[in-house]
Amino acid sequence: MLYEQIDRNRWMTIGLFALFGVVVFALSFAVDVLFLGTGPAGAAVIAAIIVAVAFGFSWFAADNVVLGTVGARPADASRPAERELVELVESVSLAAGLPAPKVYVIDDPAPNAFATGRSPSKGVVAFTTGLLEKMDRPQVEAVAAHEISHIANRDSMIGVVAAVLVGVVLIICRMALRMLFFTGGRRGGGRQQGNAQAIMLLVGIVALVLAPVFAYLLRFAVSRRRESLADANAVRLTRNPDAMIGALEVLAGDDTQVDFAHGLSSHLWIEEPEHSRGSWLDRLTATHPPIPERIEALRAIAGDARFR
Amino acid sequence: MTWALLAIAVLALAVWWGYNRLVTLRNRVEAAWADLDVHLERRRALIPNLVATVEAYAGHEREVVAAIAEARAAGDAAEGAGAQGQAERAVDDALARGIALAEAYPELKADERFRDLHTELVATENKIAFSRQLYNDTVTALRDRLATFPTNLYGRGLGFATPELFDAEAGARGAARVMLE
Repeated sequence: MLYEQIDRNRWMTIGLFALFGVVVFALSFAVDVLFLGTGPAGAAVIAAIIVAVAFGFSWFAADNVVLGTVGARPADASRPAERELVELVESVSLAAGLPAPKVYVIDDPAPNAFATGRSPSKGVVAFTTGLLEKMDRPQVEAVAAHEISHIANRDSMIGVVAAVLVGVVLIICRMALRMLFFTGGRRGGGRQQGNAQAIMLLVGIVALVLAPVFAYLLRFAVSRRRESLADANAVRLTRNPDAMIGALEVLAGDDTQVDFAHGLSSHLWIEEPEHSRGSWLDRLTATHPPIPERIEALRAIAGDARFR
Repeated sequence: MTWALLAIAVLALAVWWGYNRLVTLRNRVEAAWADLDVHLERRRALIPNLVATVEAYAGHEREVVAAIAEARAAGDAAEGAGAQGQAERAVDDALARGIALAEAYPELKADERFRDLHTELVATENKIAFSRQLYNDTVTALRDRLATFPTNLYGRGLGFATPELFDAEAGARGAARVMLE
């Protein structure tokens, strides 16, 4: 059941965020060693600032920024198709035992959808008009269930926090490396400090270089796990694996890309808005598993569901 | 002596935790039932309007109209998930027959109110289908807990009854069986 899974998922999330914490702290440590030299206390302050900025932005501003940048508008009750969509979303959220999220529509021919909202009571789901045209009702139900399960798992909150953390880590690393390049960093207090100091500096530089890479990889890992989980939950909510598979096939069979999606919000969509070409680097940095793999995973579940 | 006390303490903690889990699950079952019941009632509440509309165009189809009204009364009177499920099946069949009259009476089919009612009934049945899932899922979770060790030893003793499942077919395929074109 969804809420049982939410309990388990919470630990998973805590683990991943602990890893993020390690990355952020390593970075702060590096900045401190290279520029400030105040020791662990200084590093802790830097880390606290990074985390506070990331969470503060995600909590208060991220939803509106995302809805604004993709040009989403509230569903219009005077149009039959959108009225039906609202009713459909209400129905599906009943099965999840959640308050019905607000429904937004994006006027865009590319079929796609996303969910956002910092908590289940503030959930928002948005569908492109292309998706509504190209999918039948059970398929739209499956997509809605996928998005509602993102809301239930607080994935969008986590995704936004992850994205912002990556952004902050990236900015700091670039600034630090540039400063290091031009100023040579903090001057050591004379020759007597010797090897220990040199090693610390070296470790600091390595941390500066690696922190963004790790931050990125973690973010993508968080996102991919959650996509698969949301697919599986969608099937549990709708009891209709074929509809979810059908919906993914519609997404896979369509080459149009959403116009205004950009890197920061790509983990929020049901299909990755920028299509990748499938090289190993693309796979490592994808926010979603490849659609054929998602379909394959659902077929396995479908077999399971039919024999129950 | 110390060991015995320790064992009793651990046992008491386990029972305490198990009891709290059972209370949580029972509350979830009750909440899910309340939700499902709202939608079932909503569907039955639409029946008088449907009867009035059908009678306006097909007044002599007494048998169908009577069956709908009867099913509604039985649904209102039913108590408990099992009995409610049976009653809703009767409502399903009666509604399907009532809506199917549209095929024989084109004027009924063309009636604006009748179409709106049909749309509303189908929407309500969708909600019933999804609420029914949540209800049956929560019931199954509580039943599993009551039937497995160690809760099975004391669950019933503490006054937890095994909740009834709601008929997995009932409530969602009445008006939705007939599509008006």
